[in-house]
Amino acid sequence: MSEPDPLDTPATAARLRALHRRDALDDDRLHTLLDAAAHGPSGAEWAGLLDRALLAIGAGLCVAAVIYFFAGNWADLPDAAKLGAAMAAVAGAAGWALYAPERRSGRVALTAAAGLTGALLAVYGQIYQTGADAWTLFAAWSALLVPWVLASRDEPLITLWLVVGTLALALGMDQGALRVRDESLRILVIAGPAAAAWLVCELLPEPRRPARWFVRTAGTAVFAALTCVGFILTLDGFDGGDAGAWPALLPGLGIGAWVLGLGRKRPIDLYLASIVWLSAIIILTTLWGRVLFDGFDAGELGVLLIALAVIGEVGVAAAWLRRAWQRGAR
Amino acid sequence: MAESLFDALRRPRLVELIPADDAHAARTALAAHEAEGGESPAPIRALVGFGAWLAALLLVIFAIIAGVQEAAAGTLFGLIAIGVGAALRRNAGPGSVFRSQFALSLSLAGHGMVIGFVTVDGDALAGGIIATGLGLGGLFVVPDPVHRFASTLLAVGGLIIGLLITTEAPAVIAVGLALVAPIWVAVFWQETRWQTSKWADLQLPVGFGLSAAIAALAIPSFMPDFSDAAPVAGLTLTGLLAWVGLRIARERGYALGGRPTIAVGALLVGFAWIGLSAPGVVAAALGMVLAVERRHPVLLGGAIVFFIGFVAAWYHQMELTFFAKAAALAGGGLLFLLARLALRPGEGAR
Repeated sequence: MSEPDPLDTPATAARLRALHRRDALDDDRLHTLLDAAAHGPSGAEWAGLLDRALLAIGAGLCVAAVIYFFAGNWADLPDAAKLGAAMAAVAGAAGWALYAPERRSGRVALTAAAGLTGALLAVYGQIYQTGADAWTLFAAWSALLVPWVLASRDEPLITLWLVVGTLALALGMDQGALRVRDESLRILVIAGPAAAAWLVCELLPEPRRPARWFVRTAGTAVFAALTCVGFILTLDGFDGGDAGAWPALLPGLGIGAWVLGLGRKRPIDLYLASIVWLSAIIILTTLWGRVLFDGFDAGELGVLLIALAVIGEVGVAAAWLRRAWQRGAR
Repeated sequence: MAESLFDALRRPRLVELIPADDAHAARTALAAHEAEGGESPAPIRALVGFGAWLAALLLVIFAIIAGVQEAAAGTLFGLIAIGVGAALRRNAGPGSVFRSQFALSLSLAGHGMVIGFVTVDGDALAGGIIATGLGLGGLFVVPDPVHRFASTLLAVGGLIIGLLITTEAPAVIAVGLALVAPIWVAVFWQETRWQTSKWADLQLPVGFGLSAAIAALAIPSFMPDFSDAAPVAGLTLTGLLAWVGLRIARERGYALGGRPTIAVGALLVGFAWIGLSAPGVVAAALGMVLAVERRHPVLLGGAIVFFIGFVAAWYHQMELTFFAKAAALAGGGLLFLLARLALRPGEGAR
């Protein structure tokens, strides 16, 4: 990897002041550049951002209104009218998305239609009392969204789809449709959709990658699950509990090492690297606690040693991350 | 990679701002700055803060179970820990990561012990005043951004919580929120002025500390007892939102009048109405506007999370039937969509 250009970094106030302190900028230039760096978006950019915000909030509130309306289960409203109203809401939103697929409102309408589809399925279950477990609703909802997700590849819609799919898996295990005995294996199964999404994002070439917030959110979910598994294994795994999750540890370590740069071709993502270090600190600290209190009955000295261990671990993590940042991690 | 809302807030890069003639000197100066520690990005600061908080908690627990249980001894130990921590941090060189981390943890543990022992000893107001004093002192004495963030939280929260415990009047929180909010706005609004003053290093830690304090103060606004005083905070925050919006519009040459003004006016009336019972919603909206105007993606992310959370909590705590809630949600949603139509010159692609 070639050395990054120090000037190819955001013009933060701290950097500009550092340049001023080292006589690379005079007073007037410092004022001008601070103004230029800190000044907000132009009128046109502000209009675009406001447009997005108002559309997202307005559509979100309207979808929530429809869900609340059907949650009330109005007894005086005929069943056909309930189903018809829910179907009309889905058709209206999906119709607008089809009419204006490239517009921002079209994409938001498709996500709204996806949310309303869940309401439609709930109304159907409410009317016909099918007796099916809740997980089937989420599974059906998730399956119905697949064509829309493939067609739009819009991050908010994919996020909704992943949440619905994850709920289907979690409820499926709760309601006995999917039998997984170990707690930590259940966590890994629940994290499956996020892990798949994250893996796809990492494998996609740069121009086709989704927005960074989406990649980071999926990655955070994966490491949250791996941290929980590591935590459970540290507490119970040595005594034979949750033994089925041990094989997951090796791929988990491998993924962590890859995020930290081992065999990685892309630049390190500093946010995800910090999450990996946080995960390692939590698991290691739990391990020290287990060894000191269960193994040596260390008492108050154990608390002091763990405090010092946390300071050391965070120090190592901060030093590593800072070096990665200086080498171009973003 | 797709352009997201956060990408739109990206600050210009130094290479775009510095003239080619000065680039060589700037590169050398910046490389030297980075070699001396440079600037820590937000994820590193968050990790350091979390680690320091956890270690401080463990150090306090250690001190208590090791026998420091008397108020006088605990306060003395706490003061010593603060002093040693501050001295270590002040003398830590740019590469002294472990010493800095130890100093930070020790100082935070000391703060916890002093405030905790004084408060548990029976005087919550004294504990609050001491917390505020230590917070204000720490801002100037300990040159560490994470410590300054924590000091700002202490300075704001100490007195307000002390008064709340002493008076048992939830109005203290609402009044506190109303008093802190203008300072919060000023810190971000006057960013350039701060950054060229001798207090430049304080601006961002104090700004983010105040943001966290505002969020923490707004959370209890959903408690039943808070509602009587909520309008004080809600209307102050709406006033600030209107002022910031007006300044942003004026700086970009927009004049008052016509459909956009009516749309923005309607939105502000809507926010004022929400603010009467849920000031947190208005605070989060104001946070989003400040974050965009000053290009702070971390602040924007936090404000979006709090906005969604506060709106959800507000609707959830409404004592209405499902149908009335549905009507309120639909009304709010339509207001936002109509405002969008009124403000939109023409719909563009992403």
